[in-house]
Amino acid sequence: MARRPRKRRRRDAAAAEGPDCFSRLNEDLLRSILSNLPTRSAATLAAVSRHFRREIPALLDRVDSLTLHEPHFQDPLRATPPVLLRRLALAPHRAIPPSTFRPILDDAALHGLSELAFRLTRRARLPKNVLSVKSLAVLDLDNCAVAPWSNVACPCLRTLRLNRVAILQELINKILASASCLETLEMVYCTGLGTGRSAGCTVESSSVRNLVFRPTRKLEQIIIRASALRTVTLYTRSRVKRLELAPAPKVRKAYLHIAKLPAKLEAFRVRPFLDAGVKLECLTLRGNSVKVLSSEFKGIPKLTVMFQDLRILSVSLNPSSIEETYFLLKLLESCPHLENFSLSVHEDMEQANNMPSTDHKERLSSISCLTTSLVQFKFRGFKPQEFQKELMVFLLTRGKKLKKVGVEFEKSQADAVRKILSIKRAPTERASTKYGNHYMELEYS
Amino acid sequence: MEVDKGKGEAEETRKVAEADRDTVTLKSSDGKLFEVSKEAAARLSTVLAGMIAGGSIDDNGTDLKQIGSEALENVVDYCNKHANSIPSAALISSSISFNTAPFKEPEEWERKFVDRLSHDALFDLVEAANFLGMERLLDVTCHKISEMMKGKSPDQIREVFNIKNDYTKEELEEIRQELAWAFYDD
Repeated sequence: MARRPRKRRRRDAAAAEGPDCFSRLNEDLLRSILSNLPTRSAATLAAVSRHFRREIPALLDRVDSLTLHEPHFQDPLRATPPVLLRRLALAPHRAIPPSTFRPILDDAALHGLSELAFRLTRRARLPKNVLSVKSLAVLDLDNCAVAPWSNVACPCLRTLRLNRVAILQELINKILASASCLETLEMVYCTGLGTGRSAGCTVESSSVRNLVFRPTRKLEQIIIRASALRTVTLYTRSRVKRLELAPAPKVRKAYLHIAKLPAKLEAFRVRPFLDAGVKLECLTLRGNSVKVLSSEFKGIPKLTVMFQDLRILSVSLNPSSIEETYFLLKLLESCPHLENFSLSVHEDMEQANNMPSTDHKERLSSISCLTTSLVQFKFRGFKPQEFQKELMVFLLTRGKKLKKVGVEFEKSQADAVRKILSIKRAPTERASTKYGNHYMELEYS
Repeated sequence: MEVDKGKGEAEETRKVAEADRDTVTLKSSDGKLFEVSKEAAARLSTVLAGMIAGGSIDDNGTDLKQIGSEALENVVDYCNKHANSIPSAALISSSISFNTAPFKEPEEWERKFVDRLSHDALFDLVEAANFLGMERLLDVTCHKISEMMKGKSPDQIREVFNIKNDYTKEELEEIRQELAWAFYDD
């Protein structure tokens, strides 16, 4: 019913501006006119008028997906009538040189290819036009090498996944410059990013929303400046000497794994990112991330930022380090609505285990989320020492909304753990070896 | 079926004998009358063939309310030229499907025939051919239209066919970006 007036108005408007000869033709007649046009000509018609854009795309033939192992189409893509190819997957046998797929890519480019996946069995060079298929929205490269002289022209690219790809930093820059609406970037175990001693990677983009970055062991420098990030997963490896994660005010989900610390701890800068992350909903700090942050936040009694939306927090830390423990308390103070908290504890043998009994108890009771909003709590590597014990007892006795508690511990600690957990009896208790160790799970109704 | 067909033919010949005519009279939407050879009409138009066979041809002018006089004149003109230039039954389209039927390039006279038409007349003729089920004429006219579109930019197409640009600048830019692959080179 609602549509009728709109239709009439449209016709009136058309009549007022003189008749448009195409709008009289029915679908069959339009299709028969299109059938003599090459794909590209037919596709550009959408830019002629709204009527064309409404009618024509539905009249074009489509091929959803093709997988080729050899550099020729079994059923060649015809010139006319127009046909659009959505996805092309290329997975040649080891003996076939990837460059022989160049004409295939050229041909697919004429048919509006929007997804391309190229997978090789060894890291051989891809044809140089792999980054210049203009219609591409999704590009997946797996286990291959991008030739340094490749042409880069991919204005529609939204998703780029590079898995074990040898690619120059220069090309990454070119891609980021060309793909102005790139949203998802995954770089996993990519090589060739830098040369010689300064093997580093810089990702600078104002469009990337989702980033996964996992370097190889050789990478020494990681700089991520992506202000539009919504989710980020970032790993460093042991040789990284410099790390910069620039602020991304819209970030919702962050996973940070810092492997090994450099000699100069100042070369790692993550604090500005955390300070700006007011929209964070889920934060995971693994490896030495807490150590880096605790040194960056050293001497600051309170985080300036309040994570109002943060519901899930997962942290790995060394409990015998006062600094790290303090940082965790500071972080918890800034998460007023935390619901799900997991703490994973790893002992750093270098540090003495003589943590002074401090004002933890007081600090803990000033952290509102632990009593008012926390629903689920998981503790891995639990040992009944000062702080850990206090935290656990505090949560069990004071957590008003606590529904589920999980504790993973070594066998020798079983009695102590049971004793602590007995503070708050649970209707459901489960014991298992879920994480390779002893694991107890309590559920309160 | 054989029997039916024979019967139909018999009836037809009887009617022809009765009327003693080898043409049919067609009446356009605005009341003008046109005569066309019955043989050509039946051969080129599946709809007219059906009407002739079914006996629903009116001697005083068969009403074709959907077709204007100008278009009908062109249809008749085409039928007559076809009858003159082509040995009968040489060019009957075998398939209705546009995508699978191999399209034979237009003959020289067909090309000339559609070339002299104005845009409006051409589109009217497409509709008339569609209405009358004239496969070959439909192919030739559609081919002519796509020839006119081939290799032209959206701007040029709008100009040639007098189509109004109902996009805003921003929308157009957005579409151009989306279709950047197709616009390559121009």
